[in-house]
Amino acid sequence: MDEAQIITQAQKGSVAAFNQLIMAYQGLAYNVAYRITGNQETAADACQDAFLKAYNAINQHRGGSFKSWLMRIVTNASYDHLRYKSRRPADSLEEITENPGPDSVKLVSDQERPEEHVLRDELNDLLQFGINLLPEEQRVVLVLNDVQGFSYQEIAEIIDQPLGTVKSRLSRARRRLRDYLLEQQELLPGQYRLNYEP
Amino acid sequence: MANDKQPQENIERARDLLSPYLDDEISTEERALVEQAIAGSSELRRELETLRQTISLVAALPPMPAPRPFTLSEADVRPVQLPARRGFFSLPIWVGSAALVAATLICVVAIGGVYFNGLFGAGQLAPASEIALQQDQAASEPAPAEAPAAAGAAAEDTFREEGEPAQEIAPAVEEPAEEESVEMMAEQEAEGGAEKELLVEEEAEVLESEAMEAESIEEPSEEEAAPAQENRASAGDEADTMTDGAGEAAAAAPPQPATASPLPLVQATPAPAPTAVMQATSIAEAQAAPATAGEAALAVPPVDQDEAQKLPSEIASEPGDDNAARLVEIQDRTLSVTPGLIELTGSIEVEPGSVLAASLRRNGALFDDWADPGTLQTVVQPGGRFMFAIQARSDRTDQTLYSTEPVTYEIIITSIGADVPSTGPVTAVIPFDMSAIPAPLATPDATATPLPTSTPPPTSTPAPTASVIARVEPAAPTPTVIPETGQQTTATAPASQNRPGRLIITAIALILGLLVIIGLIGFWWIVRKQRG
Repeated sequence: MDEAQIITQAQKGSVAAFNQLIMAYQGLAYNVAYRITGNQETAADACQDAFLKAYNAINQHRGGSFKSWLMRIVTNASYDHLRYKSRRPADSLEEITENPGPDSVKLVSDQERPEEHVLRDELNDLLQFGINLLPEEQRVVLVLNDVQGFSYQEIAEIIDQPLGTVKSRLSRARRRLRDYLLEQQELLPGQYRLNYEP
Repeated sequence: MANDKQPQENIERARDLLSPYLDDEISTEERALVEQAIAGSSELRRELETLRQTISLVAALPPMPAPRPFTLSEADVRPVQLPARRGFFSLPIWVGSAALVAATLICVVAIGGVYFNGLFGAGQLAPASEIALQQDQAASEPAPAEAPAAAGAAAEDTFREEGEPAQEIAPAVEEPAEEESVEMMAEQEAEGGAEKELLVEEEAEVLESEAMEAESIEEPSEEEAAPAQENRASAGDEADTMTDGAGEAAAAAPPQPATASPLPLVQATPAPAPTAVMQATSIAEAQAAPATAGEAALAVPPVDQDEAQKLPSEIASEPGDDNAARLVEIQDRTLSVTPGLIELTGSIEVEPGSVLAASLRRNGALFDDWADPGTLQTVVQPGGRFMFAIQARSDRTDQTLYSTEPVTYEIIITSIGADVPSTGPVTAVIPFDMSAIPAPLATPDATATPLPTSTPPPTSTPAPTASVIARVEPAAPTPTVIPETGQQTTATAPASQNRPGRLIITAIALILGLLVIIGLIGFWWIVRKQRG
């Protein structure tokens, strides 16, 4: 059964069909949400809300890219949770302990030595911190393009903005992040430092 | 370096295009521009390289596995079943809504009732005695100048609004003139059937009995005790004897203030039927009073001005006057006052062929010089019918008689001539008030400008006595009706007295309406909050 049929079933109220869509896109949705919010729990909550909203609004999907349509809901939900978190910035110590967040999630690759893994984690943390410093509209565009690989056109559909806006926002986001990384050059592992050998 | 020689403008534009250049999202021209700029600028090349490294680092971020599956269950997608919406005090909303709607309707009805007299016994005829007493009470006060011209028509409603029992009003009547009304009541009783024949309406008996009650409640002052006793003692005697008592009773009344519109006799007479109260004078006085109309066809002895300026009560109270005038009443009376013309018709209890002479008074003072003397006399027609068409003299500037100030006019009719009835000469006083007209109509009086021809001539239904007021016919109200003094006073005074009550009720109704509105808003807010 292709995606269109599954969507049709979901539009008829089939939760099972919609769950198939969830299973297909939950990884992408969660990563987008996580890169936007910078917090695992917040991203998870945003994803859960986004899927529920998507189910309730599935009949409003009139063709086109379901992925873009879903990502639009995910980014909006991420925005909502991000703003909600910004109004409640102080996380309790208990919450932090029980939910250590992405920093504690350390994936260990079989091909990666522990030292490299640590260095990689440091780089990831620094990048995520730099992403978090970006304005929301730039952050979303950078995450969707550079992290998730969405095309300019898809991003334009997701954020419902013209293509030129996507280009300019992405350009500014990249330059800002690059400047940040250059500022934090000393904190980067040697192999990840931005350098230019003319 | 060649790169430094490039226009700064191209470098800046190429810098902006570096990001899409890396993504191959630029046009051919833009690509050429960027590549040319990069070739000539080491700074741009450095920026491009660092930007490429940044993108690579970001793209190398590891994907984050979802911490849990986000699949939905049937329970997650089941519509939330809101509890049955309940209103105040656990009542269904429709109950509260119905109650609020009912409250709103009540307020609307209350307000409407206030303004349309629905709550004040509209359509109910007040007892005649009550009206008489109210008239008495009101007569002691000048009629409000702002009374509408249509008060004559509205008077009917106002009369009928008052439904309070006479017992509640009678004790409050303490004015001498009111006590005099009691005495006049006894006087009329003494006059027997001749007077009672005029009581053509059923209210007469009620009026009489209530007036008697008032009499029993009221204790006359020492000054009035004697004539009152005389009246009671003379009950059942002959008419002339009784009229003496009446004259004394009238004489006992305090002098009327100049601005007091109604005559005491007129005010106090509770007889329901007559249209005017007659008071007997001596033949000589009766002949003398209207004698200023020298040009009249009928020769009438000249009248003494001093005598003419006396009120009928004063005339009748002349000591030693054995031929005092008898009080008769005018039936089917109509009074029309138009600029320069006073028309008075009716039926009087005198022999046909008798001559009636009229005399005008303004606030109690002789006002005959207003009228053309030739129009102050008329001859009684068969059936006692008569008609006066009193015309103003052409040189008068106050032909309209209108005034914004309280002013009372009186027409005193006296029978003269050889064919007087066997009962003796009679006189009648027909007061009317020209102050209760709207300002636009009153203006001509001050400026001596006649009313516009388009203005309907004001007319009035003569009803100086309570009985007449009680007999007010439901004539079509017209704004040109000018009520007479007693009627107007009675018409306006209760309305003004009732005004505070109406205002209070109106205010209460408005407050209730506001509370209902606030309640509705609060109700809507609570319901909305419950809906979440």
